[in-house]
Amino acid sequence: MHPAASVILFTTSTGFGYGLLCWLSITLNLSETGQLPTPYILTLITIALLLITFGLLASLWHLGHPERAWRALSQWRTSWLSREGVFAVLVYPPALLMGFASYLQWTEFLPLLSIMVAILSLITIYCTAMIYASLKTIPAWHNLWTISGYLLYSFSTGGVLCYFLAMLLYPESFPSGSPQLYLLIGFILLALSNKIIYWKYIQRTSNSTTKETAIGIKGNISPLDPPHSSANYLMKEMGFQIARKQAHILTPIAVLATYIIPCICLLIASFSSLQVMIILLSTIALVSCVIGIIAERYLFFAEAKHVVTLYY
Amino acid sequence: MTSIPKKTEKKLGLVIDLDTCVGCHACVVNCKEWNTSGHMAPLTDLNPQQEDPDGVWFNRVHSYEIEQEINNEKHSQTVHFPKSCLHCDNPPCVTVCPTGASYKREEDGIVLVNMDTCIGCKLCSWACPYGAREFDQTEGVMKKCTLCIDRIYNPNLPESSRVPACVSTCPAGARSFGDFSDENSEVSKLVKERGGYELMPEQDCQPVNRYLPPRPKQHQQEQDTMVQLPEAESNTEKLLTRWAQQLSQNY
Repeated sequence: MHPAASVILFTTSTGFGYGLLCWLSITLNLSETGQLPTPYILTLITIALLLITFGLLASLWHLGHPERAWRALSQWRTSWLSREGVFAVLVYPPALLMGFASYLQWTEFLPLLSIMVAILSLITIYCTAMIYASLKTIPAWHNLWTISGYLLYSFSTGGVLCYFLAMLLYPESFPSGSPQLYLLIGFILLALSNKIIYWKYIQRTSNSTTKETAIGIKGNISPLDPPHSSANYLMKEMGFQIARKQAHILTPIAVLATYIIPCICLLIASFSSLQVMIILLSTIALVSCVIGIIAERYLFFAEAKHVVTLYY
Repeated sequence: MTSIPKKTEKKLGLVIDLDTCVGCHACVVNCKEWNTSGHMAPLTDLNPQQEDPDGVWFNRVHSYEIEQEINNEKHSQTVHFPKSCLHCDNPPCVTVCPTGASYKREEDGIVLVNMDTCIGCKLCSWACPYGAREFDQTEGVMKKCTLCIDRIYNPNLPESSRVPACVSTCPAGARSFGDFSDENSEVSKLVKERGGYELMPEQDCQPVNRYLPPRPKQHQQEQDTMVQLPEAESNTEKLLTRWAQQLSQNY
């Protein structure tokens, strides 16, 4: 599949945003006092909503008619894309309400509101994942690992961003040796293992749709005359093929930068007491995570093969 | 609404005979010709006169060489394979549509796109395993075969012309149009007689269009009726003798 920049930006940016909202909820509920300072909460909500809004705008950018995008909220009964749109909109009110509640010092509502925001964020990510996982035509996406992958990568990238902001603004929310820190490291490792299983899975599974079922005649089928003299929409959109060399470079970048480097940085930071060192490590973790996840998202599209390519 | 009708009154579609299709692309051209000013007009072309022409077409003809092993002998045949929207009974392109622009008609089962509400997200083209939908970059909407909805119900056309453009133009008679829900229709009979099949049944789209397989080649029969020629002679002496004989006969 053609890895469109708008879709990669969308999944990366909203992944960070929804993940950050989830981690705001986790750190709020796990903090010793059950509270976080108002400016910290407001900053995190603002950054998360900006990332989500930016991501959603990026996804509109690839539409043929962005001005009609509101129509996409109507078919939630059948379409995962529509459901995603609906839940993406539904995340805003409780997130904004949480900001207000924090500003007005209604602290008793914060844990509950934050859990609501986190649940809606998770549902939105799930809907995004289902857009891809529901497509039977793309075997590399049509599996459970795609769904768990979306949830886990959003959780781990959002967590790395949350850790970075915490170290910068309010380190007490992510103290060394705290359960939330180990939870984050655990999620990153889970996301990594999910990705490895995903890659193994897509290499191993054989597709039940073949040239023979596509054309309906048994035998050794080879194209003789193409239906058109140059690449058409189908070949440009669905027939994108990643160069082997490019995949060989991007795969280790995706693994190292998205998961392993942030994980090591977080582990070292958790044993470090020097504030400058911790901030430096969390910055490296975040930058590496951003680079890695873009490579990983690129591969997710570029490595996925559509069954229509069997006709070519 | 993007929910699929439980049952359609009619099941309009095509039967494509791979045995008679000669791969002339006349159906492709006539489809373009009609539809570029039809229901989904225009079928935009990009760089039509340049090196890399691209554009929207509803119908494409692939040609394949298919090698088969029959009785331990390798046979190969050329199959011309026209492909357009199959107007599925269970169309995934319809259910994924977030706006309801893609829909399946309850009255005749034709799958259409409402160009006024399509946002051009392309998801329907990802969901279709057959590559039936092509995005119009210039118009920003998805386009597809309408089964010539503006011909088959057109009272301004003589009744014999009320068939899709691809069907009316096919010089080999390889395309038939009709109602598959009627067991006695021409298309239903053809499917029954010739073993018409659906493409990619495992994708569970339940396509309405059917393909008729090429008839088996009659190799054995051909060999039997062939005139057996005497083996060519390699012996120079014999050849010269025969040449001399022929000369003497002629003069």
